[in-house]
Amino acid sequence: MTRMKTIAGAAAAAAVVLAASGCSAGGDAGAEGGSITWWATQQTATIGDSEAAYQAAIDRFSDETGIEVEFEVIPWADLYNRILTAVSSGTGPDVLNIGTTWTGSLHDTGALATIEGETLDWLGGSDRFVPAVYEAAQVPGETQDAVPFLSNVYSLYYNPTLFAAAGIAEPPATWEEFVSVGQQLTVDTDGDGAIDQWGYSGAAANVQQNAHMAFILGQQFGGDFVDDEGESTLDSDEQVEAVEAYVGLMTDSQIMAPSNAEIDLGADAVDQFINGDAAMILQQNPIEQFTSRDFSDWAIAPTPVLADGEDVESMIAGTNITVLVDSPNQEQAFQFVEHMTSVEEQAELASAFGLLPVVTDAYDEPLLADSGDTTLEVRRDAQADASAPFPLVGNIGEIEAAVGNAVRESFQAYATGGDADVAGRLAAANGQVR
Amino acid sequence: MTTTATRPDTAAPSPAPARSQLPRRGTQQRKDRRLAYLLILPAVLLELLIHIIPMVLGVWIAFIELDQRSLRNWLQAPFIGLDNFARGLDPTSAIGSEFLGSVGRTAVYVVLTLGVSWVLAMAAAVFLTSSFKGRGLLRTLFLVPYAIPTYVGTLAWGFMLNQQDGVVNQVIVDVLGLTNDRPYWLIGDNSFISLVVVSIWSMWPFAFLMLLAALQNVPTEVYEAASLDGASNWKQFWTITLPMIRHANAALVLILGLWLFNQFNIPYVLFGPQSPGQALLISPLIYQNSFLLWDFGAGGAMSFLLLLALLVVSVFYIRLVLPKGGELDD
Amino acid sequence: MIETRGFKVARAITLTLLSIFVLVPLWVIVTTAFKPLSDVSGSFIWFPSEWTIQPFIDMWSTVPLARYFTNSLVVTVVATAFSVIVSILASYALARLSFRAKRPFSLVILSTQMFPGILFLLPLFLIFTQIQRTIGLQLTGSLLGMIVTYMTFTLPFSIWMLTGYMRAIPAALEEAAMIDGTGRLGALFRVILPVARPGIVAVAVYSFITAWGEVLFAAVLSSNATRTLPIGLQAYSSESDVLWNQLMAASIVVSIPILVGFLLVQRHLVAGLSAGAVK
Repeated sequence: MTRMKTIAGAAAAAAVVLAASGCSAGGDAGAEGGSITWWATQQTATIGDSEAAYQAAIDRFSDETGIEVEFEVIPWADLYNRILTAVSSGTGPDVLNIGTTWTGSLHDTGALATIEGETLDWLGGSDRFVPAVYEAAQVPGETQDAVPFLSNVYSLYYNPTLFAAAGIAEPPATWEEFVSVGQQLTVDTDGDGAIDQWGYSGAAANVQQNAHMAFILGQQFGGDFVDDEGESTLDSDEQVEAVEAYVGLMTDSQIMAPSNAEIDLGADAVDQFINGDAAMILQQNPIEQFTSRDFSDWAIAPTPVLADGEDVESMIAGTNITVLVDSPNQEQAFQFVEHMTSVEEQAELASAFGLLPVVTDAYDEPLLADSGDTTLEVRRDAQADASAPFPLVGNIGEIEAAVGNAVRESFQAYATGGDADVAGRLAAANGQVR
Repeated sequence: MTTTATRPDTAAPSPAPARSQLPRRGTQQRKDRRLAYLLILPAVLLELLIHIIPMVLGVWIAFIELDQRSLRNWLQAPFIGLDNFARGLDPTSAIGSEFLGSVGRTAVYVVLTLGVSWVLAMAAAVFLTSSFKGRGLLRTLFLVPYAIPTYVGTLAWGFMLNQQDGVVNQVIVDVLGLTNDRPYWLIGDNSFISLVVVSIWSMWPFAFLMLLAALQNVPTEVYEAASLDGASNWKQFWTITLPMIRHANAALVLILGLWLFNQFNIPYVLFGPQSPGQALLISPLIYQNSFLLWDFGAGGAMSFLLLLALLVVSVFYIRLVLPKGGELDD
Repeated sequence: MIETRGFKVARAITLTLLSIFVLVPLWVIVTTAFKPLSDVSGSFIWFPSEWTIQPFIDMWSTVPLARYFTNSLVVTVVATAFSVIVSILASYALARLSFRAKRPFSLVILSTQMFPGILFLLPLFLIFTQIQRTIGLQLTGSLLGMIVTYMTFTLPFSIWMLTGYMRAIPAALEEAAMIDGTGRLGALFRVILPVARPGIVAVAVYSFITAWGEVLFAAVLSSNATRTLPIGLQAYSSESDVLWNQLMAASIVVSIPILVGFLLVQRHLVAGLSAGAVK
């Protein structure tokens, strides 16, 4: 959508939005001017870097529309609580970023403004978005209240030098290869009797990352977190098999150091990879950390999938953007959403953050097309063709916590000399979900 | 509370005896009463706003079904009576066994942390009341963990307790060679020990400070007399020191005990939002239910039970330990 | 006490062990702050491979530390000041005046001391937003909300302690002043306050430390612009990286002012506690 159309469309849409939301804007009917607030997600190691990239985009928006945007970059760790308090108090911002995996929960709160019909048309319609990503932003059969903002996927990052040293030419494509390659790479390099290089490193104490891996592998094994009725199925045979496969990296094939059971930050797992203590990691976006440590000995490949399983390499990770139903500035807020999901801004932001755009045409922008970013192709393929949305149910937050914690406990029980008991822990987790 | 101890800094120069030159009794009393209410007004307002009203609201939350669906219109959330309590108290349900388990664990945690902190603090306070070279320096050093923010000390401990790279395992395994396998300190059974140790580290200086202050009130002449009678230091400690500072001890146990029972910051910084099961205390459990699972009803019910327990314990304790004539009595 | 040989040996051993216990974490904090990042990610080393002050420089730009510092300072100082004033007024009433609500008031004050913070986090937030909507007073995301909250947190302990302290001051002192025609309040400010200084210092230090280190409410009540240090420091570890050396450097910097202040008033503190709380 071009800028000209934006402005013309905005005026026309204003009445629609207001009517649809049943909310009084209480201000000037024209699209010009005004100010809105926005809670943005932190996408870089420092808040400052995120602020700078967002500020540039906002400046372009303000120049164009005369609307001021007051924004706040919120660390992921705080975001959920902040959203919670905003929802309960009705005093949140106008525009809000949410994690893609929370879509179901937040839809259930009824705090998000509906994006439908003419509002959606005005935003440029659903067709311009990457279909898989767009789907993950709405609960099937329900009103839509979020559109994708920036996207991310899990990929395999591996160390070519360590691969070469072990005589391995290609990165593993299947889960089975992943395990056997991992075993070859798990070695005692200095001969002191203790393994000091592991095939794989992961943040086994991180609830979210565990839940993500349980989900991705679960999909490959044909399982899911919930059934068609929305009942949780964390203890289904497929889901148990999948988690056993993941926990088995430590307990069975032993390509993952037991000490990983203590790592609760993805960044620490990446650190092990950078230090050469691990040859492979499955991560969303470790590149910023690679760069800041001057580490270049890495290459990317798709997440390995089960040889005869579903081709699901990642869940749809990243951020959606929403407007709060209580916002008195819906018209300007949606204008802002439109701007931030425009082809130009998507290219700018994706390139600034090392994330994937959610709008198909953004990939053709020179900023991305000519960037020389070698990871883009692999990640784009995963985004478009090999990812599945996290279950879009209201209690997804609870399910994620329950399954992620069960996986964590399995790892930790094994590391501290106990029984991993994946099946038992998943059954208990399933019972915990309301 | 007694007023007999000598305190040079507040001794009145030469107090004039109160005579009935003051205004007539009745008027004065009425004026005093009005003044009293005026003086406590700010405190009452603040307590109402920050403690009492939220408290009442919190109790109400325990009886409604407050989750992501009802949060937005929380005033209209459905009333479900005792359902939340039934869930929290049913030892066969996941949430019930977790809650009851954490109550017991928290009690052990309080007793252990408080006990060890008190012993360390008492030892340090007694020794630092005697005079020797470097006394001032040590006194200052021991107060440092209290003066620096709790999260700073806890972060450092988390860093030190890391299984792979931490200094604790380096000392235990590499330097002392006590064991070959590096033990885990932040997960599994040991995580509880770590929690206790870190809590002691940041809490004992407060006990030290209080006891040090209390020991100032024990007149040295008493010891001198006892020594002349041939009482050993050990015996003096039991027969003189402890009885003379029993009010301080009572206050300390009450204050520190409540702090520890409500402990949130240390496990939160040490383990992250989700404590390992073996080290899960009540406050973090309530946090998990309320703010990670959005199950405010269950969190509210647990809070309510916790508060009842604390009230009962405290009332008994205050009756038992704090003597009549304290500030609660007129 | 007679310093027997056994006493001296026990003293030396106990104090040495305690010193080690206290010092090791402090050593870790200080040395880590002077290490380059490469020293931090691997096994712990007791001394930096090279001492660098780079973390102390970088930390200001990684995180808007100066802003957080200012916020913390404003919140803590104002909350402490008001908390002390409110406690002085209330304690004077409790210590010197007789009124019917005295006992219920003391009981309520004492029992709020035992409320677990987690219990009223959400209710308090809901109330703040209600006030915000009704009278437009911004209490969430503002410094004011944190100030009001923190000054109340420390009230129970402060009032309790100061009441004890004031009771210990001979009543004759102010009666003398009142005979000279000074009113109750005049006596409080001119006679009691100067004498009660050690107690007031102790209460102020307690309030300051409590507010300076509070994590839970700050996480919910602060916004980007009003974020305080305990929350702000978490920004050194994000999903993308953990900058341990800068985190420790920042920890030192945020601890120093309070540490220095604390050590300066240490003597008063012990005197204040000994006359008030622990009697």
